[in-house]
Amino acid sequence: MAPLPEDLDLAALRRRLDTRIIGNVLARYERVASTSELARQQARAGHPEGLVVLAEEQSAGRGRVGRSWIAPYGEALLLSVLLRPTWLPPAEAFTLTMLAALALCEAVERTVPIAARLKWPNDLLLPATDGLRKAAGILTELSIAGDHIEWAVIGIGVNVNQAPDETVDGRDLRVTATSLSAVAGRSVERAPLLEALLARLDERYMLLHTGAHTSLFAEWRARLEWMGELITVRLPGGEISGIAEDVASDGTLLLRDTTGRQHAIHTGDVGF
Amino acid sequence: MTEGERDSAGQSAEDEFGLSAVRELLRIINESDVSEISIERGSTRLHIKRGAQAHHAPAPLFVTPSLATTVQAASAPPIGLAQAPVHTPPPVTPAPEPEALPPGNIIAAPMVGTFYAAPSPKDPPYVNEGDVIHVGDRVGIIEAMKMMNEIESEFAGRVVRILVKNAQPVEYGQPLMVIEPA
Repeated sequence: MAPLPEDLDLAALRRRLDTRIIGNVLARYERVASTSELARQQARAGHPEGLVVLAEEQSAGRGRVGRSWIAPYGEALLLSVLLRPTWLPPAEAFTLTMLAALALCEAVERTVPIAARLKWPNDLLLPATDGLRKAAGILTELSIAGDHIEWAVIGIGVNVNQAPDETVDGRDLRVTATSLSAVAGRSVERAPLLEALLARLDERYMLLHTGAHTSLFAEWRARLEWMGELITVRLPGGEISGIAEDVASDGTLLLRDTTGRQHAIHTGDVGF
Repeated sequence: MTEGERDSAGQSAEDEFGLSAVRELLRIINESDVSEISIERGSTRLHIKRGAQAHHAPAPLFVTPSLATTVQAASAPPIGLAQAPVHTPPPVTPAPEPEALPPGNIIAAPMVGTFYAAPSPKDPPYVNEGDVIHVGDRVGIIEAMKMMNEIESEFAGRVVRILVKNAQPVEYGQPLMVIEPA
């Protein structure tokens, strides 16, 4: 078994970390099926919010609709964060997607001097030599009980030092994916990235709790790539092409197709 | 049992960690493959790391002496740790039944999104009409904005009608299934 990489020093991180909620418990694993699965188990067992589950490798990392998320041992940053935003109405759960995406952009920009963009709604894009490519993904799992959110597990996978060169689930990552190191042209330390990410998540979460919805939405919207451009979105039931006109205040993507009809899309993959 | 437990019990009458919480945590650690865990409650910190010689067999757990519980001076502001919410059972208030539906309890969509009947396109559906389900059984997923909301049944009984198709958009409160009490 590979040794636990020493670049992430949890004790040192604990000493530096100045967050109020996120990271009050940090649990690190070598290999797990999925960090989100572990965080979900803890959520169901009543664990308080703030738990961060880290792993060096996932055997069953998940993306949308059961897609795999592959990362070699120790080269990515794989974590899941347990939140209990019981004060957030379920109809506003989408703000969690926005806050995670923004916190990730901010953390990446503090680590490598490169402007981060978002592919709707929350894929992190970084500029590779041939255009913007995906360097990180976020998938949030929610439990809604009656009229409130019981818990949310935000799963984040960042390509830090690997060179994505595989084909996964029929998608050729060589043409769509990149990593921080590939874009920066050097190896990238994971510890400062993790620290910045937890700090930014904490800050954004506290802001959301105090009601900072408007600024959150505006900042998220300003990060979205390809607005005003012709894009193709893969929907659960097919594909649709059109101009990405804007996003609504609930985050839905407003796309006008070639016949002039506007679609409000809440589920789908914006194509490259 | 551990330094963290002894320290937190001895340090303050408030017992910021909570002995039961620590015990629970250690149970989790022992039963899982966790390599390292770091906890902060109020001004108390606890760090536990497994031995460097990790094996597939469960490695003995120990508190690294240099990283053992450290209690900081109370210079830091009180940390706003949220309490774990009290787990009250969700209110069982069946939505008003449209006339066309068979009698029974209705599972409704808790948010706007896309309904999925299975965890992935390769998997069989969580439930089929005629299945008998229990409270807490997963019956579907609703996705919106890259958020997956697993729908769990608040009711026990037989699934007499599934009102939505896989990958169908659903509105808030839209009936998804009718469950006939067992």
